Amino acid sequence: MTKLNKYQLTHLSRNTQFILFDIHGNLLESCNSLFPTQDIRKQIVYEWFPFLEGIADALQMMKPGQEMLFQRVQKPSAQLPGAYDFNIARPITNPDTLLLIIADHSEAYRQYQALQQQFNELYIEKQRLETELTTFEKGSIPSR
Amino acid sequence: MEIKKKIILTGSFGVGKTSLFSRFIYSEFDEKYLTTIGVKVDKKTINIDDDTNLNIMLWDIAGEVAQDKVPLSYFLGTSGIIYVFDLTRPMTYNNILADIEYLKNILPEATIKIIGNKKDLVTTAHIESVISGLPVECDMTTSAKTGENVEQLFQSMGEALMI
Repeated sequence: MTKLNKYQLTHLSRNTQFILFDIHGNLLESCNSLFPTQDIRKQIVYEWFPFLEGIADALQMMKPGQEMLFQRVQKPSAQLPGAYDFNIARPITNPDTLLLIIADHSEAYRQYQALQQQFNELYIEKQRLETELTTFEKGSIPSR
Repeated sequence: MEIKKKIILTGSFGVGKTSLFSRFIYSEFDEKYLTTIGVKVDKKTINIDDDTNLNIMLWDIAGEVAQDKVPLSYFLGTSGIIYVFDLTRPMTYNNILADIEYLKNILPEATIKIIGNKKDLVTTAHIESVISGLPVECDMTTSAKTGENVEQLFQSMGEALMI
């Protein structure tokens, strides 16, 4: 392993968890970077996240080599209180399994959320003023 | 018998999707608007009849001005769509026909319910005026704040999904 590979691995292991499970959801392996899995009573990965439970049928039908990305999943479980990207793949080399990669981008998404919040509030205020102007021009009183 | 179905809450931003989500799942309401940037998911079981429970996987999706801006992956495996607009903001239902057509196109098998939220902020006459002017049928009006019609919304969606 080169020095660069080591740096890369160290960096990734800080904010990314790799979980391997079979198509029925049974846990096979986890690197436990973001949360420990060994003490979870039920070792069915789908049941850890309502997010995955809702799409379990679709995941079971993924074709080998297929990948899906779900960005900005907020508070996916009690152990993950931030915002994460979920990448799910069915590896060609191991088609009986599914690989879940959870990347923690909570800090970046916190900043993104603050900006989005500001944008949305301004946009809503703009809409309200436009509606009031239209109502005023028609000569009637706004309903609220 | 226990059945699982995925239902999504979608529509423009600031229409009260997260408030409906919190009211239904946690029986909570917060006056403060906090924008959703991606997706929040939680579940709740409702009773359909003596033999059937429906486990609802509810996805609260970040609001967009038009539905074609929503990431397609969020729609995966969806059985029911609750399209929410704000009865106080015309801009949230001006694009409703195009939005519903788009949703029907990408999820032709899904059941769609169209909901006017924030009914506690407007008069009955205003609600009637808004609904009569829509190019699509509004299934229900709700208030996440008072809880009016929220349980009924999910119950009727659950029953529709069992047909």
